[in-house]
Formats: sequence, C-alpha cells, structure tokens
Amino acid sequence: MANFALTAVGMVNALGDNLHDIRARLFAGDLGRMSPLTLKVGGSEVLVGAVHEDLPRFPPELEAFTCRNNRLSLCAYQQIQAEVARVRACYGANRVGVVMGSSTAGLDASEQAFALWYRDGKLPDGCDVHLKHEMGGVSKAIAQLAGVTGPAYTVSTACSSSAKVFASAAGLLASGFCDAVITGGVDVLCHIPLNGFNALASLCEGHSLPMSRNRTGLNIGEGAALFVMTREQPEHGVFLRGVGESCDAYHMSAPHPEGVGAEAAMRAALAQAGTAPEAVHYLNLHGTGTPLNDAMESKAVARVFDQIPCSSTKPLIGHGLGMAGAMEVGFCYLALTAAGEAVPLPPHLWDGAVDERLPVLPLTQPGDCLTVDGPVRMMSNSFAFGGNNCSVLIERR
Amino acid sequence: MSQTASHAVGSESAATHPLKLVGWRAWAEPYPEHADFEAFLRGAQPPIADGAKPKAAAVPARLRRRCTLVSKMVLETSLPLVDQYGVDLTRTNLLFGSRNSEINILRNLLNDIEGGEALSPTAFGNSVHHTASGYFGLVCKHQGVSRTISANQDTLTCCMLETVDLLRRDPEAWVLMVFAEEMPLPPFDQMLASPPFPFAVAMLWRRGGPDDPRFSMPALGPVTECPSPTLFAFLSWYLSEKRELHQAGSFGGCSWLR
Repeated sequence: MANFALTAVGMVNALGDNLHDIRARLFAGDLGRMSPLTLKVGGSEVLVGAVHEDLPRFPPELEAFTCRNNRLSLCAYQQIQAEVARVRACYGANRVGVVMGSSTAGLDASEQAFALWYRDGKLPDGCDVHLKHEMGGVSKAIAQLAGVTGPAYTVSTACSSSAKVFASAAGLLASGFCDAVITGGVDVLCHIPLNGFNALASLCEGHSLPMSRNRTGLNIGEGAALFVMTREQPEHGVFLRGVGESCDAYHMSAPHPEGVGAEAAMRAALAQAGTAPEAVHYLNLHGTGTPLNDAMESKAVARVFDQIPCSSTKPLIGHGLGMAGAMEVGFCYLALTAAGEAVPLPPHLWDGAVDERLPVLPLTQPGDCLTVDGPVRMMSNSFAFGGNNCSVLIERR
Repeated sequence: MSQTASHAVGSESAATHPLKLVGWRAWAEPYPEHADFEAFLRGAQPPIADGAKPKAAAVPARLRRRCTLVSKMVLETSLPLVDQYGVDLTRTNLLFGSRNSEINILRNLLNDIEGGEALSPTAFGNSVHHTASGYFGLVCKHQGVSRTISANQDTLTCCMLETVDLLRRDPEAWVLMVFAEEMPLPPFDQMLASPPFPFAVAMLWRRGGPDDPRFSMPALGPVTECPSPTLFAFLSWYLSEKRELHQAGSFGGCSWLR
C-alpha cells in the first residue's frame, strides 16, 4: 500500500505560471487561454495550450540546459524550491532523488538545430543539444537546479509518462534509496507531436469536446508539474495512495476498444490503495476528445465506478502528452487543498451533446463541489501509445 | 525485503540487494550471435559481421513490417529469453532502458517536416521512446507493468533501482530488462552520445538468494569510470571471476558484489 506525502506542488500550463492563477482559472473553467497555432506542415490552424507568460532563465552555470522544455520545468521548480531546500537540509542532498516524465524532452531545441542543419548543411557553432535532447537530461536539469545528488531519471512512455513517475518515485522511497523525491512531468509544444497527431487525424480545429457525440480530436498543450514526495507522515496533507499500471497489448496507437487495459489500471490503483471504488470521490479522465479514447474510457469507468463525478481538464490546457499525468494529478491536488469546507471539482467543459452509444458518466459542471467527512480521494487516468496505461490515486486527510 | 547487512561508507550506509540474473541475450550489429557478443565482452576478438540486421523471426510478419530497428533488436533478444525460461508474463515487469531510443525515426520525421512533407502516421506512432516495449507487449500479449527509463550514463543503475523495488513488491515476480541503442544519423551523430555500435541486451532478473550477486547504490568501494554503455562493463564483470565491481555514476555510483 502506497502512503507517501505530497508536500508541495509547482505548475505551469496554459492557465498560468503560478498556482493562484491556475487554481482560479481551472475551477472557473476558463477556456480563453487556449490559442491558435499554424502547423508547419500543411499550414492548417489548430488550438493549442501554450504557456503565455515569459519563462524564467537558467543561471549561467546551467546554461547548457536552456531550452523551452527545461525552462517550463524551471518555472514549476521555482514554486517548490523552498520545500526542496527543506528536504535537502533535512535528509541530505544524496537522499533526494528526481523522477520526471516526458515525451518530448528538449525536442524543441533539437528541432531548431535540425532546421539550421537542414538549411545550411551544418550545425551552428557550439551547438550541443545533448543535455536537452536526451530524455535523461530532463531529470538531470532538475537535479542540478535543486542541488540534489540522489538518483535522477526520466520515465518516457508517451502520454502515461508522468503518471508512472509516481510509481517510480514511491519505489525509491519504499526501497530506501531516497527519503524525498522531486517528481512530475514536463513537455513542450513542438513540431513533431503537433504534425504527428495531425497525420493521425487526431487534432481538432476548435476546443476539444471530450465525451461529446461531436468530438473529433484533441488539442495539444505544454507545461510542467512538479511535486515533492516524502516518506514523512504528517497528520494532515495529501498523500499518494495507489498507482495502477497495465498494458493493452492490442495496438500501437489505438486503445483497446472495450478499455480492458484502462480498467485494469484503475483496479490496480484501487487495489494498491486498499480502497473500494465507492470510496473515490472524483476521477480526472484521460478524456482526450478523440473518438476512440473517450469511447473505451467511458466503458471502463462505468465498469469500475458507480456514478463517480468525473471530468476531463484537457479542454482547458490541451493534452499535455508526457506531462499530462502529473498535471492532472496536480489539478486533483489543487482541488484537495482548496480553502474552505467544500472541495471544488474541476469542471468538464463541452457542448453537452451526449453520445448515446456510450455509458453516461456524471460529468462535473462549473461550481460543482464535494462535501465529505473524512478522507477525500481522487483518481487520475493516463493512457498512452502502445496501450500503456496508468491510474494514480491520491488522498487528502 | 531482500536486503542484507551493509558496509559503511563515510557517514552513509547502503543496503545490498541480492538479484538473480536468470539469463541474458544480446544482439549487436558486429556480433549478431550471442556467443560472439559474449566473447567480445570477455575481451576476445570474435569475427565481425558485416551489415547484420536483426531478423526478429519470431515476430508475425504483419507486425515485423512496422517494427523499427530498435524494436527488432529488442524483440530479437527478449523473445528467445522469455521462451527459453518459461517466463510467467502475468508476473513480468518490463523495463526498457535507452538513452536515445528511436532517435532515427525522430530524425526522419524532422527531415519530412523541414521538407514540407506530411508525416507518416506509422512513423509518428513509432517515434515515441517506448515504441520497442509497445511491440513487445503486442507480440507477447504482455499486460503488466511496462516502463521505459532514460538516465544518460546512469540508465543501467536506474533500471536496477526499479528492479529492486519491483521484486520487493512481488518477490515471485520476473523483471525483463532490455537495453537498446542505435547509431544516430546526421546531424544527431554530432550532437548525442553514440554507442559503439547498434545493440540490444535483454536480461531476466528474479529475486536473488545468498549465492547471487548483490547490488548496491551508492557504491561501496572506490569507483571506476566505465565507458558508456556501462551495461557492457557490468556484463564483462558478470562473466568474469572478479568479486566486486564499483562503477562510477552521477549519484555515488553503484557496486556489484559476490
């Protein structure tokens, strides 16, 4: 049974570069932060969840890590650096690890370098994308920023990457390799995923419409979400309780149509937490807005849960791909740590057009809240290419 | 818990974790036969093959046509291992370790983008870091834990940390660990760490007993810098009679003892 405290979170996404703004726009259902972008191939315009704010810069000694992807990480890191300093002082730098999830790493920098090489036949002087492009560099950048020397590595399983990091980070704590772990996800908007999903006919022109009969595809977004996870057991706080992982073994880029693997992941997370489905109070759907994902996910959710309030937050920030898992756990964290008695629920923003072919899920609306005596539990789903699934269950007590 | 008493290093102490390497299999472009690769690791000079390609003959043709080179190398090594040891796939965790994984699929997609060409949906689907583990899942109907780990020169060490935890959680489980790298095409050959040659190594791990090698992170003795990939240094040690291996790394290195 997992039981590790999540003692801090930092986030940056289309809703903002700080928790105050993100929280306000999340629960208000502010769709106005999505912005148009013209695809490099074909020139069509799509909506994306780009971060609007200027991102912080790396200090000169860490300039080799500079790319937009790592600057997103830096922005999220700055929000948790006080907590990182605390655990580093408490346990020692070598007892603090880093596990990050990403699908792009610094592909933005690689794309720029490649474009120059393609045009000029040579790389610019001093071009070195090694620390940015390699998946491992994502975690190394955080470790260097944080001044920690524990294990640092990146999990990369496309859209489930930064959900799986919670299992890996918990493993480092449970096995005694670390006393605290900085964990989360980051991905940057860049040409390959944008044009690749367009090639798969998976992008929609306007806002994505998860679970709607009119849904045609997804929007892509960027951002970073970082947590500090520790072995500490404070009386009150938010805790990781379960992570469930599964594979569909069905298709490389399409989910199992009945959601068999998705169901297995949700049940595995519940089993690890020792929690019954009816004891979970909210589910953050993977909810991409693609016909196949939403069809299989709604079937799987209906088999596991009896009328659980749920929503997809992807219309607000886009699908964050490798960072989506951590970001959406972060949204659950924001709900669980909101001020007041009632727990606000992230709204499901769509056109209200029920797809009669699918089980009806209790989708949340702006303003919906929970009032629960005792612990409040929330789950987040992430499903990836290769049928790689992960569900994460957290609890406030 | 599979831990034994520890050595003290400075003010730190580190547990050691007995791990059983049930079997392993390798494919490399210059040494497509496992025995030749093993001889290479032992310091011999086996014959070098010219332009070898992984056959992945056990993969159904309709899937094999779609597989990337990295995926074929992974399947070429992992499928025989699973078959040979009668692995219970319902209790198998797959760890795929790679620094750059499908770098050449990415590179060719970038080439298409710069040329203004529409991307191939199959190529895009094959460009994710865990493509090879996805194909393994498809071929073997593996539905369990499947993670892809990347940690620069520390990728092996981090996969071992994951293995220790997975076998702690389920002492009867198997861990199939597969590493693969290909040679980056230009211009990435100038920008990224290149392996000595394209290779894949699959290793099958179970919880160890008193006679099995013990793993520790951080290292328990003076460390040695090993050329990348450090996996080769580990396998060379495993094949040798040496009692200890202390590998340098970014977070205190790691040790293997027997």
